[in-house]
Amino acid sequence: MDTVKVVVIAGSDVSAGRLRDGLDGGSNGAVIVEGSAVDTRSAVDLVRRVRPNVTIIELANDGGLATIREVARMAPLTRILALSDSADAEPAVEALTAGAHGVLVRPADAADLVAPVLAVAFGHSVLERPLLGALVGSATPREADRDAELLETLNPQYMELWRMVADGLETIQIAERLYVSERTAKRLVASLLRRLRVANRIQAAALAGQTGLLDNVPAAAPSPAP
Amino acid sequence: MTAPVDDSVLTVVLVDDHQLFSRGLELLLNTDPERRVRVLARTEHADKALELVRHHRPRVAIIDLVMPPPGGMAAVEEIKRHYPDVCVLALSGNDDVSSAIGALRNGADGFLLKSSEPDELIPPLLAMAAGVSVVPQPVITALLESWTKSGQRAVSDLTPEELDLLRLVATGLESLEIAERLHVSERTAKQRVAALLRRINVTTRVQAAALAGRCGLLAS
Repeated sequence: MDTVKVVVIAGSDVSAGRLRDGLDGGSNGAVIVEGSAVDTRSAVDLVRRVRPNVTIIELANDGGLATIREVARMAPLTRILALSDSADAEPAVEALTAGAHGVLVRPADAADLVAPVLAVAFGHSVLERPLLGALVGSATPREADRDAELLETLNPQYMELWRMVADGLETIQIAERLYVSERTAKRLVASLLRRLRVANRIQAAALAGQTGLLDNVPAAAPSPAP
Repeated sequence: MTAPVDDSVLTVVLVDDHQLFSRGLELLLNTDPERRVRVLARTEHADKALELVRHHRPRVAIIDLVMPPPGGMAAVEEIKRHYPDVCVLALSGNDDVSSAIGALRNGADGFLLKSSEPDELIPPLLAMAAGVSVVPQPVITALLESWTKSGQRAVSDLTPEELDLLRLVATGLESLEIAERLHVSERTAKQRVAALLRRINVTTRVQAAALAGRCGLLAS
């Protein structure tokens, strides 16, 4: 196996030292730590000079994300492994979006990173197991089977109306959009709720979310104040 | 038939109907110069997978997703249901992202393409056995996209109490009813709901309900 060159960008010298000690020479000398840095600017210089196969970046310091972006931009061939302090999904998503190829929770023993570092060097992505679970959970298809029939029986006008209700539009706004009187709009909404077999607009909105009716619009878009 | 194996050695079973591939992989893993992996057994039949795991109790089961019925996907699900501690690596010859995500949803701990470099398989296996999931980059890209779309971002950092409150709001309860359930005054209930709506960046209870539905908070 060829050697894998690694650069470590840590939040502190102590942490950089630990990572270097745990990784250098790992897997029978396959892993070689070529250097470390503790701030974005020297990190980028180091990466450009060494051209490592893998750059390890700690998210601990606030600059972590900025460093990932900068390294990904300046050295697109290096594979980036981000180390997080927690198994929370949000920081991991941010790191991956910024350009990381993997996110792991920083292990107590840096030697545990040897196998994942090699996996990342070989072109795979690595994620702490619970993080993958969280991401996969959000990709779970909705249990929409029982609602499929319902969706089929609603005509496009009702679907449109349902979307408006779920977006939180008031009766008067719905009336304006449909070019009908407020009274007619109210009647239409009441009829929609009956068809959906729900008691109120809130439940209609919840059901719209569950059935995936709202999936092609941005989530939680802030609406203009009434 | 299973010889005792040192704890530091990663024990594996293979489930793949393609014998040539399976035997090749077995040979390759068993001849690792550092002796880190040991293949305990193989089967060509998806419906024998569970039995194989029960009998050999490996740390890792490597399962081909593309197999005759009942298929690799069913084997993944069955093994994780009965033996959640056994690490399951799904393999496939085609880079279909949705079948990879399907396998992960069924509990697989990782997914690799059969076209991966064979001598580069051991580090991913070791990483997976240590609790790290290994998947191809396009799978991550697809997962990030669905994460953003699903609105999970908005609810991902809510506390359990806030999630409960969101569920109450989404079922259409009035402030007074929410107050009763939470054993607080109506005024406090109103304040909490208002704070919750700000947290998830919506202006009305109806929008909160829609978001809760989208994020799967109301399932079952």
